[in-house]
Amino acid sequence: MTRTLLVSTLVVLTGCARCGKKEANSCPPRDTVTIALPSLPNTLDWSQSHEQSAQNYPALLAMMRGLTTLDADNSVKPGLAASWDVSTTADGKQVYVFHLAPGVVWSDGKSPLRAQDFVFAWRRALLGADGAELEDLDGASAWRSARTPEAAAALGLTAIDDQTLQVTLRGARGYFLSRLANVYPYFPAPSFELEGKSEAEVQRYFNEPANGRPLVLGAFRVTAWDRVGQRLELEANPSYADKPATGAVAHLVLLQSELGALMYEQCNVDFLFFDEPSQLARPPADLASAKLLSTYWLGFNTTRVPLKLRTAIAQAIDRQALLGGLSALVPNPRIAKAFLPPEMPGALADSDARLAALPASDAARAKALLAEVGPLPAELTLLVRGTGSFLPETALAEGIRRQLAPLGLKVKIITTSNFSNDVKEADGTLRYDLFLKRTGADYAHPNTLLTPFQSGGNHYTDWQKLEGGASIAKFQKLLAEGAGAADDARRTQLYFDAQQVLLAEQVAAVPLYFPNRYFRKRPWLEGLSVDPFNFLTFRAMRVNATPPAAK
Amino acid sequence: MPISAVLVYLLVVNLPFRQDSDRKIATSENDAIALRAQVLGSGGVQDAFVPWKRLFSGESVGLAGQPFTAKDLGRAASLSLGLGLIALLLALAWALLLAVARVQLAASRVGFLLEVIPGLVFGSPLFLLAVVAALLAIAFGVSFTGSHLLAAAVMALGPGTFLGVVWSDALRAEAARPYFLAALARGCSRRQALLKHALPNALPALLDAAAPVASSLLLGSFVAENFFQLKGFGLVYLEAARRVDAGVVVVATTLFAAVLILVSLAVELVRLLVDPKARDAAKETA
Amino acid sequence: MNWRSRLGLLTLVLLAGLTFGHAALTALDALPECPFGADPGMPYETVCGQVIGGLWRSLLLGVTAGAGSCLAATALALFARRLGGRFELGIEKGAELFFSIPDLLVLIVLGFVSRAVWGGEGVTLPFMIASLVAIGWAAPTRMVQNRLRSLERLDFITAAHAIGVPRTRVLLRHVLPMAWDYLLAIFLLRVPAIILTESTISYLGFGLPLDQPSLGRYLGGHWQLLATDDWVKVAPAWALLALLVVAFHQVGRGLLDRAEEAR
Repeated sequence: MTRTLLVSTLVVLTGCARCGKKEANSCPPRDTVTIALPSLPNTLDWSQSHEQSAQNYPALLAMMRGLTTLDADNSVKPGLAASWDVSTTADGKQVYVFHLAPGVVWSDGKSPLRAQDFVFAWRRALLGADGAELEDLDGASAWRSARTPEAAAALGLTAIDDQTLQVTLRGARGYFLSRLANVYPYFPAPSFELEGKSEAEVQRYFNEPANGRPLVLGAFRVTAWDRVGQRLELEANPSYADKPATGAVAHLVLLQSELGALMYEQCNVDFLFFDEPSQLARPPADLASAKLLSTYWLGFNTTRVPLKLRTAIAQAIDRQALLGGLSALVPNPRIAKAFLPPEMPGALADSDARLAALPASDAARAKALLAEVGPLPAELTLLVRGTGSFLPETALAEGIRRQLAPLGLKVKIITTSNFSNDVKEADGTLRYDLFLKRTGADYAHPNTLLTPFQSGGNHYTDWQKLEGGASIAKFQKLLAEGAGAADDARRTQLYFDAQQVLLAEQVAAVPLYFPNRYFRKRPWLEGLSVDPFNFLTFRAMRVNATPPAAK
Repeated sequence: MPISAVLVYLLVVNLPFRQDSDRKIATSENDAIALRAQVLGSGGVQDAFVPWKRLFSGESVGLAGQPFTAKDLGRAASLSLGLGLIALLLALAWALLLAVARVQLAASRVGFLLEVIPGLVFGSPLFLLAVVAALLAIAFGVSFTGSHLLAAAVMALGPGTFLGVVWSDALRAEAARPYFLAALARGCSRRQALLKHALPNALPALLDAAAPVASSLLLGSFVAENFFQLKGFGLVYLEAARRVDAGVVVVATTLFAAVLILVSLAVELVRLLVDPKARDAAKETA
Repeated sequence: MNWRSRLGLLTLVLLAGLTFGHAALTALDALPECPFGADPGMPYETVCGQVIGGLWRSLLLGVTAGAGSCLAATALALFARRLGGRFELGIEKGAELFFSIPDLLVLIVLGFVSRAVWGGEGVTLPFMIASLVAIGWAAPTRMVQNRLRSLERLDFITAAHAIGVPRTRVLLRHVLPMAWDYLLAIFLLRVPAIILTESTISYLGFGLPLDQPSLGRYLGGHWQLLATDDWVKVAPAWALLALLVVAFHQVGRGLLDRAEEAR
């Protein structure tokens, strides 16, 4: 029993241990900024990419930039391209001619950026793991399958001269300029160093950083990459022109550690994603949040759950009550009335009357519909991501289970740590009746959030089989028209119509809310934030040694 | 050792393979399948050493997440080895302290406490002891993140206590023997007799404990590296298994099995050198 | 039995009562409010519910896997004694070899296999129990083998052999009943070892999923709270785990001492 006593003494001791904690805001400014990330890149080769590409973005966005950039309101402005002309050919192809900004040099300080660098990088990127990202280029699929010089020449990608790049797309793609800003396979590569090398040598050039290589165009270049130690060290790119006037950060360290929170307390880390929703109930003083262009939704296995049951479930879920009950984990939730968040250019505002056409919570009608369904399934399985998500997904699943129980629908929750593997069998058959998933925007255009529901997209709903494929064809036609729409009102209407097919006619998905991402950072660290695409923005990062007095 | 390599390979490689990405548009799985075939071969016995050949030629064996090469794995292994050696030294020191204390102080009031320590160590999951160590470190103002020494101490706790108990039992047995009593009768002090006579004679008992100590150190390295986030081989292995990265798991599991076999071989060798009884037995059979 | 074992037994009875009482009160919808509040990760669950559910799962795991491995060990040892010779030596050496492989390594490989085959966040309860039996049979097999061997040297057993009673009959009718106390003690001592192994493997992420936690899984998923103001939400699970392990250990030791004295 002495042991138990000892154990309780230890418990008391642990209570006391909290007294030793340093005051987080007393950490002094440094010119080396350390950032803890949930996972580090698996490749630094932006033209080759990787199956798990999301984790590469923080590093690659610090190192590189694209032809365009995005303004605070997500509108497109010039980046590496100073200007561009758009025209349409007689057969409906869209031609972009980019005029590169003069005076941009790679991080060796002398080699200028040339149009040829884009041609080299994009041709390679089309053959890489993320090649589908560049599928809109004219002749892309021929180049991907044939890989011959003729196919390369036929690709809609030409360096007219050193400063001019011509890109031909298969059709009108209104989202193309937005994508150029963030989607990293579109970044150029230093072709003068890489041309003529074997693929293995090129990959080593990127993935074994040494002597200032790989050359970059962004604010930072890599000095060391410890894959085992999960630590990436970068330094300021001396040739980067847009440096802040004062307080430029000389060194940047990206690291991955489960102990990020404790390292933050002990001043070892200056920026930290606050990904423990369970701790939002007692938020730290320096907690900040970013509104993501991202949707959390309930998906149906439409083969197993019939339309009436889907509609009844969509009406039975009371989003307001669901998220209200989880206010400790999801403070101030942005309830989803449609799939597109209202902050997305081309989405409807929350007050728009057209939104009434989409299913809303209505318990009475849900009950009536259920009576028509006939014998209810004994149990509905619901797949949800367990630990490792920055959203309280299991709690949300439990909330849905509780909302459906009074209707006689029994839901069994299954948690997973590998959603995309577990959601279906090896032959593609869906394993569960329902699932919860977050889909995030990659660029500021409605197309990015609706793309997954096209045929061949990872929507996990089997809705391409409904009505012999007529619904998904209608949906895709609306998306294509939306991408080509010239004026904003028409674009908004087309994307709303597409959502109506998905959410009201077929009820393949029920959008629940638009999540926020929480993070902590030192008050002296300015310009570092999470952007709506869940990426970090480094370019305006600076250290302000005399921050305004804390409240 | 090659047998364990083949067995591990056959077990891991022939599991169902899934590599689905969470992209918006499904891409063909051909790339992943081709990479897997490169790293792991066909899955038949004849290909059991394909991952090793790949490592020796400087290529990576990682299939999901991180592309680990021989250099990467070697760096992780050297960190773990260093930690393990520090932990072994700490464990031996702690064991000696505990053993002598248990023998010398058995009758005193503190003796009871010394009996409680093994119970406490064997009675709590190791990760909770790591939590206590970390919190105490914070309370005393020491940064525990990335603290190699603290991790080594946590690793040493289990094997050290185990060794201490084995050792003190052996010492007690020696202390009851005639030669020990004779030494005392000749005016040797108890402490002298213990350190000079009983301790060397109790050494072979430690050899019997070597195998459990090795596996306990291995366990400790998993828990301590995971808890203190030291990116050693144990953590690389755990993360690879969590990601279902068959390439790294094949290589690492085989390495662990090899280390355990080597330790038991080494123990037998040392036993032949140190223990006269074993030497005689070996001569007899020869 | 000494006072420690009795106290241990009392603790076990109280812990079992706690789980049953909690289940009964839940069924009657008469559960008092949990003094520790809600589980911060799962606001629909209280700390009490999670911890007592964890206690129940830990108990279930420990008892079934302990019983499973002891039954397997006894059967193997009886079989080995009955057949004797090379077979007995083979089982003995096999058990020794298996015992030298670290439990945790085997459990991680099994967890890996479960992930590759079935996916999911953790392993299922039956899989966990089966894994624990698979690693737990070796040590008791050696112990039971030794025990049976020494019991068979007793005079009246030798006498029974001499008058021609079949060997199987001697083993089952005369030797085994004498070993009951010892077997029970081994079983009781296995249980805390299994509970601890399970909690470690759960902490490393190869155990039960977090929404159906054992005590070890709950602690593994919540230890970070110890560094915050919510540390009280971790303390009950830790205390219950310590109580459970110590109580089983004490009862087992008491029984083992009694078995040794009886010899």
